[in-house]
Amino acid sequence: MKTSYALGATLLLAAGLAPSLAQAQCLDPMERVLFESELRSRLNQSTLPVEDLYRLAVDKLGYGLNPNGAFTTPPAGTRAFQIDTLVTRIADSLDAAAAVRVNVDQQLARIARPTTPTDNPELPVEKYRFAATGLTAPYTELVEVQAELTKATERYKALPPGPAKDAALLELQRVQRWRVRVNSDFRDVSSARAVAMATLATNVDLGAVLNEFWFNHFNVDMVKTTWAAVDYRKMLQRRQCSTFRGMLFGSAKHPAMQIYLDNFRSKKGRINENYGRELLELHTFGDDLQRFYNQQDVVDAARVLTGWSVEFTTNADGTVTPAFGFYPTAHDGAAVTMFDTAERGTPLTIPAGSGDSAVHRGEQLLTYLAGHPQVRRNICTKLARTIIGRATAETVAGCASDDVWGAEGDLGSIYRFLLTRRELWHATKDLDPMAAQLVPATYAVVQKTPLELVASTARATGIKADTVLTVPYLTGAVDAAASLGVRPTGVAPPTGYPVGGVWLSAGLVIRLQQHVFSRVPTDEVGLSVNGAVLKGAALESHIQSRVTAAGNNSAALQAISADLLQGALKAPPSIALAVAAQVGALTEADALKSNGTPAPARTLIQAYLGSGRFTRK
Amino acid sequence: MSTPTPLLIRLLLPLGLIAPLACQDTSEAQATAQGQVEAAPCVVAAPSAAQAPSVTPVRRAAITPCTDEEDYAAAVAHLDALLEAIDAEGGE
Repeated sequence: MKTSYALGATLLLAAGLAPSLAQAQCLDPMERVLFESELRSRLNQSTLPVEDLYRLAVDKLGYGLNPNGAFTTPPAGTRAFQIDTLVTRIADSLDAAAAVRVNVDQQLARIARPTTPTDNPELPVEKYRFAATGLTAPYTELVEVQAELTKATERYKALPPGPAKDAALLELQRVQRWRVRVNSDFRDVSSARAVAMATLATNVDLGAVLNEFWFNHFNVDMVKTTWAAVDYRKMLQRRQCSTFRGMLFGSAKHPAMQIYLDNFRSKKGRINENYGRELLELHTFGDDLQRFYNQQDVVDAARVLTGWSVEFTTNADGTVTPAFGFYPTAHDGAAVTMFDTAERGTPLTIPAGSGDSAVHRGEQLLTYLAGHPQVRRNICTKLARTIIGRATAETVAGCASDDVWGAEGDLGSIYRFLLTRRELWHATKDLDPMAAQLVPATYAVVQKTPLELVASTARATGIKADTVLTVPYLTGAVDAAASLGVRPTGVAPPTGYPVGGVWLSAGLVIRLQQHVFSRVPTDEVGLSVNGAVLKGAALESHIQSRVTAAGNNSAALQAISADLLQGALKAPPSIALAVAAQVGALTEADALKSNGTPAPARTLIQAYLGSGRFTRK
Repeated sequence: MSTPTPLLIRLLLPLGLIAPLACQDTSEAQATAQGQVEAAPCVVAAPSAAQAPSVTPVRRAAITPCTDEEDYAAAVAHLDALLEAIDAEGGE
């Protein structure tokens, strides 16, 4: 079986079929026409100003406004033309959602570490070299350094006490440091890559948003999966326009998941339930109360998936490629009926099987799960909360219907359905007048996640890609996200992190801003003011002009806050006033000196970035 | 392009991560005794001669493929060993 798997992959690659199989399109030409038509109709019905629709797309279907990027404000023209442009942009983004940003990966892979340890000249200077590779390069490097470690250990042990042994000890310690650094590189590239992709995303970037969603849904921790985590995240992106069944198969069979939830060592008579449990509880049913499955089903799932592990293939150049492997002798092939004793279970019978073909028994379970009504509801609810910000019963039911979900969870169809929901594009007051009284924002109801906060803060301040693509910046950004509560790709529990959680406190906002300001020269930090990026002295000059024109601080601050918000969003007056109040509090307490010196640009930027308007989406 | 081969456990042997697997068949043992081939575990591979010079090339025709069970045991042992090393060393 192992040979036939590898041979099959080889033949697919030779035939040029693998990329098309792995990277399904979210929109074929006909679907695109229909999607654009429906989306255009929905946007035309919205009562929101077109500027709000643009900003909404940038915030919810991307990582916030980058004023240096393309597609920042509506083009000049009629509302119909502006909406057409927005529809095309969203369709383009959905079209490309499964394409990994190879150009960013290649840039990441070329970044040199600030200082290469002189005691480990073998350590490559490219700290994020694994960003542009698959599993082979990181695994092979790990094996190489492990071989050196073994040799150094044996040499040290074999020597009698004396100067030679002392020298061997120094050599052993050097190789140990080398290995520790290689492991650190595995972890750092995984987190830094997630930050870079979000920070450098286009202004509407469904591919990046969906990749983070699916990685968090099928979470693995890069601390445990080291060499496999980056490839796992890419695999998910390549499949995120296929089907939910395809995502389940990809996750279940990737070495990262096999290692993370210990299924690689689960064998007949000595099962490990970790993956079977999370497959049912988290990846599919989302059923804490175990109404659709019970503990016996967890055990049976683990038994059906015994023998699913990792195998290693040596290439012609001597490198080694890890991949999924099925080991028939480790498989428990007894017939089983699952979900027949759970309160709301629907029975599934998996016949007995042995030999290589028994791998299909586990696949039968995954296929069953991908079509289950409760699985549909769970995935649709989570996707709606991410894309729209809320999951109404009507939206979840529509998404989970046969028309949209299909038999296996047609992800392109599901995204198209969610992107054309009324609640995504309409003002809160039009959807729910009662809620509008409690939530003054038009749509910004969900707290940004730490990754979104870190990325959107950098984007809003106009930080350049050259600044982002450095080891100090990316290291600081990862640490900033971690201090907010989530280290990118480093969440240990299989639950991932909660979307819509409350991540911020005043102290954390300051820490986040400190990251931006400490990594970037002051004159590079700017803000979008009336659609243009003003930085450093230009921003302070603008503030000074407003203070002079207004005649008093209060009026000046209102004018400044309006400048800021109009650059990004024509917000309701209540939001503008809220920001003005924060600006006022900060400037009066801190920056406005007795002689009336205007607020420094930095204070203004901090107030904006700390405002409720900015920290929600 | 990769060359599919059976699980290459021998790669792991010089690393000290797993115990050698002994599944030579009788004919290979006899041939070894006669000096025709060198003794070899069931599956042979090395990243490269430079990386693992202690692995001596052998005639592949004389090698008995490992059983599926042996492959599985070796793969699990290898991954377990890597995980233990990560736990022990941590990162910078």
